[in-house]
Amino acid sequence: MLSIQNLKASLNDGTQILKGINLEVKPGEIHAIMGLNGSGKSTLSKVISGHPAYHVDGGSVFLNGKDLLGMDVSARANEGFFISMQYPIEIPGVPNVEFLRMAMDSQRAYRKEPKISDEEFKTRLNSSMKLLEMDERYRERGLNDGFSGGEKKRNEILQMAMLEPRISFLDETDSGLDIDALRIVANGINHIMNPSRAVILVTHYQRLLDYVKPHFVHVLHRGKIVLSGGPELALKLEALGYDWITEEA
Amino acid sequence: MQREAIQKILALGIPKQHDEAWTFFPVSKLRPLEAQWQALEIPATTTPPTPSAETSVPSPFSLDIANETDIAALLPIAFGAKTLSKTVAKNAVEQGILKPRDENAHTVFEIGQGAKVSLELLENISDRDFASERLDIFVGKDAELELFSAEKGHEGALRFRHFEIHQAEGSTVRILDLNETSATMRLSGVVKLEGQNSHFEYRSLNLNKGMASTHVHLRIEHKAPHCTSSQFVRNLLGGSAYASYDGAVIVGELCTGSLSSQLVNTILISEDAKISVKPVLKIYHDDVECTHGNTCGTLDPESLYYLQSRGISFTDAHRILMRAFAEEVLLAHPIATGRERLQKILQESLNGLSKN
Repeated sequence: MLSIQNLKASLNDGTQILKGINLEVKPGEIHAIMGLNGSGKSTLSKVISGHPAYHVDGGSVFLNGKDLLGMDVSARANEGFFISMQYPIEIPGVPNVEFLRMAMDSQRAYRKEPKISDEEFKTRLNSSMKLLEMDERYRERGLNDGFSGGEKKRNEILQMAMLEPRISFLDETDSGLDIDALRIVANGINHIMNPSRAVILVTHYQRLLDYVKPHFVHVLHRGKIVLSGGPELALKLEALGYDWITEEA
Repeated sequence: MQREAIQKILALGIPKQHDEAWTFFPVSKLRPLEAQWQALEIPATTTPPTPSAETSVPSPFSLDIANETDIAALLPIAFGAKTLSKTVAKNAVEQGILKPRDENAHTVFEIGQGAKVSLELLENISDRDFASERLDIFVGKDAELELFSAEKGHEGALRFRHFEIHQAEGSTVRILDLNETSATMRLSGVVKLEGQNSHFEYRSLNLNKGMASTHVHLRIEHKAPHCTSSQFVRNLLGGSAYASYDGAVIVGELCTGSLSSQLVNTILISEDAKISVKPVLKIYHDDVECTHGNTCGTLDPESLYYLQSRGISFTDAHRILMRAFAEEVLLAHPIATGRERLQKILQESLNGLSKN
């Protein structure tokens, strides 16, 4: 599904962040990426999605055999790559529901499918909002406008549920969530997962991984994946921190 | 009036860049007019019509031409505009359309006490490259007036609109403008809040493209206690467009409890677009609250990225953000008549606005 080979990337000012990332994600898999602040986790998600602040210095990213790095941002999304932002921005004046519908229709147009019908959109939105226990007032509010940190994260997962991406890169989706919201969001992620999709989670804490069970855990350190393992690796990191990895690296 | 106006224009001469009221305007565009007004035939003295007694504000026909310093206020009269007078009766409720009959137009409105009026100003669609318009509006006690307009000037055209508004006690005036233009335009106005508790709102959305050059020059005079005024302007400037906003609030000595605000937000869609903003506050009383703000930038790259990351194309993302920015001006206008009409026009207008 997603194949990242020797990916190197810098900020536009020349600061090198990613120094050769290798990662293979297959359908049905959940991967967790952990690491110290500044290790390159968010950069990885943004580089794959095509954020304009980064420059790819080398390597490749293929999604189902298609070269994502050769596409613009919207095409990458339309190919099925979804990024849940660590800090979703607010866009006043763009109603949430209108935005969701435009995004869905854009993806359908990309796949040369007709626009979503009123009935289907309404049914799917109601179902997704119910899953995420979202308040009715979300519908008409501006995109993340005035949302709390937790509401923004929940809104990201709502978009993920509606867009049904092949692979979702969730960047610290658990930050800013209270205990109940964490359970609801995790439940949403688990509900959206199926054998044809995949999820990459970036997190600092085991608590999200108690709800969303990863198949693989990777440690990113100074722009490289320096260690990979199973769920037990996250527990070890929670117990010991990163010092032992830093020393080994 | 025409005689006085011509004489006054000749005396004033063509404005210069250092004239405060014309600092941002490309005054060289006025030169072709100079020959025209110098050739104007000065008519014999005329007797002014009898003023209406319906409003408690000064008569519209006692225009103080002798002390006028802005030639934009004099142009339509000097060029022989026929004055259209309209009186709205006390407590009447009216909706209407005002359409200029010629390339030069002068309209006088007297709105009676307690009346409620909604008026759409239609664009002067004269084929000529020059048009000027003046409105003198007298708003009676507790009356409400909504004025809205959508302008589409073509490149090379020179357009002037000047209004003078006198507001009596408890009156409210709300103006909503949408300008989608490639022309050179100047909107000037003087608003006199003469009765206490009177309220004025000005909202304007400018979608400038090509070589558009639009200029707003407003003077809001708080002349009685507890008056309020607000100015809210948003500009979306593409191509090589230029816009300026010169808005002044003058609060007099006796004007306790005055409130005023000025906010101008601009998004430069192209690298060649330019904006100049000059807020002016002249306050002669301590118990007032007057604010002003100005922002200028480009469409937020993070917002563009966010929308694109959901599959929305760059072009559509651009349009969505422009619309969101623009609509806030219209949505702030509390009267549905003007708001809904201009929202429809906005949708079509944004499709034609680009970097070029």
